[in-house]
Amino acid sequence: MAEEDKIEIIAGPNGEAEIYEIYADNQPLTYTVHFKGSVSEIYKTLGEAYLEAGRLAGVRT
Amino acid sequence: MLSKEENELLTRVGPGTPMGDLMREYWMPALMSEELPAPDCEQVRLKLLGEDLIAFRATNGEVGVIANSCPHRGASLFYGRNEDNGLRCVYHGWKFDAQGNCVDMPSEPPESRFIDKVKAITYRTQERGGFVWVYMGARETPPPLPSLVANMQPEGAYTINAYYTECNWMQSLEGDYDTSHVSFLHAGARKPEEIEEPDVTFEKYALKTRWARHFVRDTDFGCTSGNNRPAEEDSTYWRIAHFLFPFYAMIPASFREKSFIAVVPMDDENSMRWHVSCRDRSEPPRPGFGGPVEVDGLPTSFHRDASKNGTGWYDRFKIAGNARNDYLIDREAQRRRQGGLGFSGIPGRGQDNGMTESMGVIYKRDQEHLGVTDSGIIRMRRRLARAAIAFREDGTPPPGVDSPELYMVQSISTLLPNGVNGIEATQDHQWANLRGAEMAGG
Repeated sequence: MAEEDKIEIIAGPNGEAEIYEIYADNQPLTYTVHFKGSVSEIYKTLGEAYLEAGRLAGVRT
Repeated sequence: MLSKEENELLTRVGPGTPMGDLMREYWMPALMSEELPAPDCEQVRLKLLGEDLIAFRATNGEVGVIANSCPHRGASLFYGRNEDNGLRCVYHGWKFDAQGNCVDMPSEPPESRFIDKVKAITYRTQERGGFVWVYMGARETPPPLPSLVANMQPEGAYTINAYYTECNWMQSLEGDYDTSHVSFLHAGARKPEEIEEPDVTFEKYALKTRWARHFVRDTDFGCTSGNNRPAEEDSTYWRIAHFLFPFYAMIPASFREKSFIAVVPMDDENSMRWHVSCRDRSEPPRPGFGGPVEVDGLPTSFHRDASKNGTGWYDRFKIAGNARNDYLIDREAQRRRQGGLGFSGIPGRGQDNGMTESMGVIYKRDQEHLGVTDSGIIRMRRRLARAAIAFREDGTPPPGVDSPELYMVQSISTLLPNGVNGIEATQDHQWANLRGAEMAGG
């Protein structure tokens, strides 16, 4: 059973990007970024999700 | 990446902080029994969770842990006389037993009953497996000690190695749960063909393939991290590591299966690291990373005894390499790129301290970029933060605190057929100690 948690909001001049962590027992952690109603591809690292959230929001992360 | 607030929550452990309150619910391995070798021996300065304490062994053998400052006017009990089942302040002669009762107040008039009203702050203690354990929490009846297998061995069947690190406990513990650094920091210059056979730890596969895929699982004791990489054509090398509340790591390698690491916060900026394994202490130490074993009378790696300790608050189990001497880095050895010294150029446990201390005394996690290998760390932080908040908000008992049997889990490194999930496939092996204890009626 996968759980999806909003773990961070990156706010910037372009708006707020939300980072979600997807957890499932015994599986790799994955991440998505939600921004203005659209959902990004699935990222395998939190670092990539932060970079993308920063890009969308308009701040350096 | 964590906000300033999240970072503060995770790292601060003083009285009244959420993480400090969480940790106070657990028994903590505070010092080695041999630091207090005999009744009425010299007392020891002990920093624990930001509190200045004095540990002493009374005439009856009992260990007392008492606040450093005398309740009278604050003089340090480190200078006191340890005599006749109590610690006597040498300023005015007030004396306290291991429970903090004032048992003598010779400076007050004989008709005074002030003695019955004064009490020193003390914490409960018990000894097991070479440690003095301390409970600093508020429970009237403390929880049981965690059933850590390496701490439940008879004398002679275990080894405690120690070293002090000048940084916050969390970044030090993260270094343990991040087992991927071993292939670089400790073994970046080693080649698979250098590994001696039999390679019971399958170490050569970690040198052959230095990246790994990571899988995680939340557990009742904390979390489990499984990482894998290719082994032979039909097999995969799995390393299963555990984080156990509040500050334990179990890292994989066959001889370490029944071992654990405890990173005990002395305060927010200093930590004591205990590495405990089921190995006879009389066995020679395993080969280190190369370079000098001792510099200026201090070991570059682990301490095995307290004989080299000084008496200051931060003078217990210091190693030779530190930030003031750049961890004794040998640039020529780094250039040679050979053996365990050849990647970092730093001898001994200065390799770990050099990395975790150079992140800053309390690492600010707002600019980091976490990769796949950091999955275990991410999950560990999340679990700790949630548990601290839950305990603060509604008193939810922290994970594992009332379930000592959970600490019988063990780490694993093994080869499995391709396509098998290593965390699932090794459950029986992970819990072999618990099953053995149940079959023995334990």
